[in-house]
Amino acid sequence: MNFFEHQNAAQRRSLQLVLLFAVAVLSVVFFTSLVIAGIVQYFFNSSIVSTEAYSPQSWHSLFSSPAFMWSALICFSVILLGSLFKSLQLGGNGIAVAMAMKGKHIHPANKEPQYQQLLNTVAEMAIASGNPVPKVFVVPGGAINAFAAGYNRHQTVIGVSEGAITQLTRDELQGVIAHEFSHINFGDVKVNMRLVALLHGILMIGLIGRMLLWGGHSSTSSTRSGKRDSSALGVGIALIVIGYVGTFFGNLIKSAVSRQREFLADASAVQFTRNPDGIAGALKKIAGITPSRQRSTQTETYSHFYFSNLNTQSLAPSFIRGLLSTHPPLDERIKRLGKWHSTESMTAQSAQEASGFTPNNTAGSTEKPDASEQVMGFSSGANIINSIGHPQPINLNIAKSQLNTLSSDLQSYTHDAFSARALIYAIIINETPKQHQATQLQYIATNENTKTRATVANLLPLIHGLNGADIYSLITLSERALQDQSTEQAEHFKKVSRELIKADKKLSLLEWCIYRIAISPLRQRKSRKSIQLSEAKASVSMLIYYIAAYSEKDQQQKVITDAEKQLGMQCDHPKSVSISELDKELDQLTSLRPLEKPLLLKAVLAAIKGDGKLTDDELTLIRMIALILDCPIPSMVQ
Amino acid sequence: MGTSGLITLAVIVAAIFFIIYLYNKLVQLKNRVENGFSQIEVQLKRRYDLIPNLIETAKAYLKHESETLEAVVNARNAASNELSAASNNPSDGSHINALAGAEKILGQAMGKFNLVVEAYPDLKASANMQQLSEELASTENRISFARQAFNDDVMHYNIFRESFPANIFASLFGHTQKAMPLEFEDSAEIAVPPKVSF
Repeated sequence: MNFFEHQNAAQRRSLQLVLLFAVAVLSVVFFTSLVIAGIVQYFFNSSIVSTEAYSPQSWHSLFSSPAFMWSALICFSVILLGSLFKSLQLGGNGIAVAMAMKGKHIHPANKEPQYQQLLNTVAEMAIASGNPVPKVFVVPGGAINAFAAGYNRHQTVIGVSEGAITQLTRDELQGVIAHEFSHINFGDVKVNMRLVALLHGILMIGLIGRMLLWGGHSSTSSTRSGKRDSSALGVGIALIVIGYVGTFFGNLIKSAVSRQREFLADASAVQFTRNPDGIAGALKKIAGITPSRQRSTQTETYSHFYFSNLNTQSLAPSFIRGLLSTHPPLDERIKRLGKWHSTESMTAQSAQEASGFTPNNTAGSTEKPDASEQVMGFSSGANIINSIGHPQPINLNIAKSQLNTLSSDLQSYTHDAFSARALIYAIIINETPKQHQATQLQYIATNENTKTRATVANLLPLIHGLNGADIYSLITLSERALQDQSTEQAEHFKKVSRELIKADKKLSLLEWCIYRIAISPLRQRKSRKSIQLSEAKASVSMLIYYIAAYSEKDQQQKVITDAEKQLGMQCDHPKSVSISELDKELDQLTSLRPLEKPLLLKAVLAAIKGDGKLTDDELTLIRMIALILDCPIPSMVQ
Repeated sequence: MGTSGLITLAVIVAAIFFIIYLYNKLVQLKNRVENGFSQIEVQLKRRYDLIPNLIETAKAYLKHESETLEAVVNARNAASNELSAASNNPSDGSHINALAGAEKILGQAMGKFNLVVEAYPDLKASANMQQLSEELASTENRISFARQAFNDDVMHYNIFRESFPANIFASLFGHTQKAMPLEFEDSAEIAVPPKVSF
């Protein structure tokens, strides 16, 4: 399977999940109501139950009794409210999950060596895979674990336990982070967020039962009547039992959904780092440590986010434990990793084969990506698309050398909101013809302040000579800091950026892409239905025409026909050309079905490339468009 | 079961849903305040780390100004202590006020220091001093931007906490205190030494 098929599978799983949960909820509602209605009938209408308890009539009367209906409705409401509570609490934000787990934010400028190493590892991996660099949190706890959370890749955070930082070597930590990046890449993180919210609803029944039990227990010591006490106790115990059954099924679904993903994540981590020892070492260390300390109701809720199981010490028989664990057994994971290790020449191909996924050409052609071509820098279009979602050690090396050559002074501008926004302004200005730059700087001076203007002016010479890959990395590095703006600051940032783009009275696609990526972590989460390519004809046409406007006048028609050939459909001349219009259309394209995205990317590629080789600017433009379309292209050199 | 019963249930569910919404919104806004403060904290710490270097550099030149230097060091230490106290509970207004007070004293001490530096052209021209002042100035910019974000977050939190019907539930959910914005004297004013004309 390639990246798009994996994403498609993630989307399908998301749907399956909802269906399975619906079944689980309905059964919980049904059994809860049955028990309550049964109790009610037993106590109040004993005449019916006494002799003909199992006749059809009595069942019928049980189901149609008000007690059954009411408990069903109330039970359903409780589950619904429970799920809503969680989904509101998480609010689409990985930061909320990290904070719920008492995580501490590690600021990018943190100088402590152990945190510095973690931040560097995360930044390298993000840049290598073309993803925005996520915020990093450290979660208290001695056990080794890590997680990634967030509704989209622009708002994702990575959390690492204190134990992982102190006990893992750099290679092992890198393996663990690579594993988490695979979850980010393939869209598992989003499914996990839904999972938490849905499961919480079912958990509610058990929680209420526990509350009733504790409430009953504590009131024994007070002066309340004993009768009320015992009835609360009875209902409490009944609810706990039902709650546990519900949770059991919920966990079953949760585990089934997330376990198979773990092998895949391990596999792509190996492929990414080409170092099976790293991740295997981490797993071995986890196996050697008693993990019971991490266990609490809070962490239980988020168990499937983690890098490994939380409940390996439970007393349940091993086969049930196997069913309920969110991750495959450690020895199984280590064994699979060992298999790749023993393969003498550890190539990317063998790792892919061992894990059962190969990045084949999406259009169905059987040619495998030529390793030498990949090393050459992905110059062919098919290779660019194949590389999506499957970063390799070469990408990691490119990212590393990039971070080493980018001046640390320049990188420090991505550490805080004030400097990061100045950096984005400078990057936009840098893309505009020289004669407009004075106007743009003046605009910043009047609409921001003189301090911002001075910072931008200082930055301009620093970024002037940078290549496209560096610009791309600087923008993805800035995203985490830009999230720290207040709502007002974010709005102002958007406004000023738009004005800067408009300064030369021309709307360039590259400028717009920079703007769009910079504001993506600030955008509200919208869930959209995925659409087909044919439904998005207007949006596709607009994108292709914009790209065509880049090339020479006499080339434009050819560019459009090239793209049309790839797409297999006619593109119409777009009606209007404004930033907000382009914004809206690109939103449409982002929610394109995963399996149809490569087709669009190929058309974009054909249009941008023209006849010649890809230039540095063109490659950057493609990478930016791909990131906006939610399928980032790994780092590469021209 | 009757229609009225159903309606009652629907109303109860809607009411609980609304309370859930209020609860989560309060938590979310408070989280933002705390996150906002941690951004200021990072930059303030950076500044408190830079000031001793600055004093160390200046010491060699300002042998007869030990009083001024001492005042800066003391003010810096006091402010640093207030910062750690405030960072434990950023939505507690009293700590924020104390931090603002300490920052004010530090600002005045730095103002005086800058004035003194003006009288020593050698010191002003030294590469070390110039680099440090440059770094201090850019830290000031970051502080003021982070402070603006924090104050926006505080305002959103306070407005929501005091608006109806959140005000009924706020204290019940543990949001007993109003958050305080962090107000400093305009730091740009302090950083720029007064112009002397002849």
